[in-house]
Amino acid sequence: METGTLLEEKRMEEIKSTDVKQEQTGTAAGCGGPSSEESVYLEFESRSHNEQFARVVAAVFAARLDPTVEEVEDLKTAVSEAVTNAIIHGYEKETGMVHMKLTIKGREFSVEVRDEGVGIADIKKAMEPLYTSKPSRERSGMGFSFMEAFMDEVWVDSEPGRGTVVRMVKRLEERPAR
Amino acid sequence: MEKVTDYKVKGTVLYAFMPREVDHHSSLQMRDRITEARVSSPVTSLVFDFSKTDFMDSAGIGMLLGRYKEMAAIGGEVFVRNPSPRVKRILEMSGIYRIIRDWDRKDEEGSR
Repeated sequence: METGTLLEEKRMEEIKSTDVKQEQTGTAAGCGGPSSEESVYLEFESRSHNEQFARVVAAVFAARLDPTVEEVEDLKTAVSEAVTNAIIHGYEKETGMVHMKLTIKGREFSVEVRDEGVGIADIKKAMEPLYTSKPSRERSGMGFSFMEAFMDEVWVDSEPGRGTVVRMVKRLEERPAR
Repeated sequence: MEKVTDYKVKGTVLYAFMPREVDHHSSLQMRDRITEARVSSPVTSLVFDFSKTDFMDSAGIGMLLGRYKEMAAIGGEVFVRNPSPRVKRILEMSGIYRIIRDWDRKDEEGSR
């Protein structure tokens, strides 16, 4: 075997083990077993074209779990709803930062979308189907309903003047080992 | 950047060709394009063509509802054509089929 190839392989191993250390906790490095947990963070400005960006990031990260097409679509829709809410309702006309954290734990995919915007005074009312605080803006009032329909769990925490956090979990189907 | 929407007017029917992804961002652009088309033509039927669309969220539903209200105000109708199974599921979940319906061949012939 040529030296160059060996070096490249060694380098690849180093890179792999570095990745594993950064991303995984609670499991032996490199195993990637069912108890492994990994997260990514994304921060972006509250501009409407970033809705697509956030969806794509969530879909690419979820691909590690070999999800079904439907599961990916469900995650994309839920992420889109939460991020759109942060952009339209959290920040309204000003531009602020939206924070998204995605976590994979076993077959569980968690999404946290946080803004430091206006907040929600009445969360229960905000989550009612068809309720919208902005009827003039052509909002359907179905955002939270869609999040609840496509994810297994949805929690909302908010404080007026401080911001809002939406946390969602989806448990993906077990896939046969390849 | 992807052209967000295109439209075609045939008689009194306006066909709005929906983009690949219908979200809050693209819905705002579509709304403006449809408004622009309606200003220049007397339209009584609005057909949303979803042939290219593989993603839609609740913002898309909001946009459809907005156009429905405008069309209903002049006694017009709103239809959807060629939704993918995913788009169809979103439309069904929203309950919007109570006020808009699928555009079928009969409608096509009637519009000629």
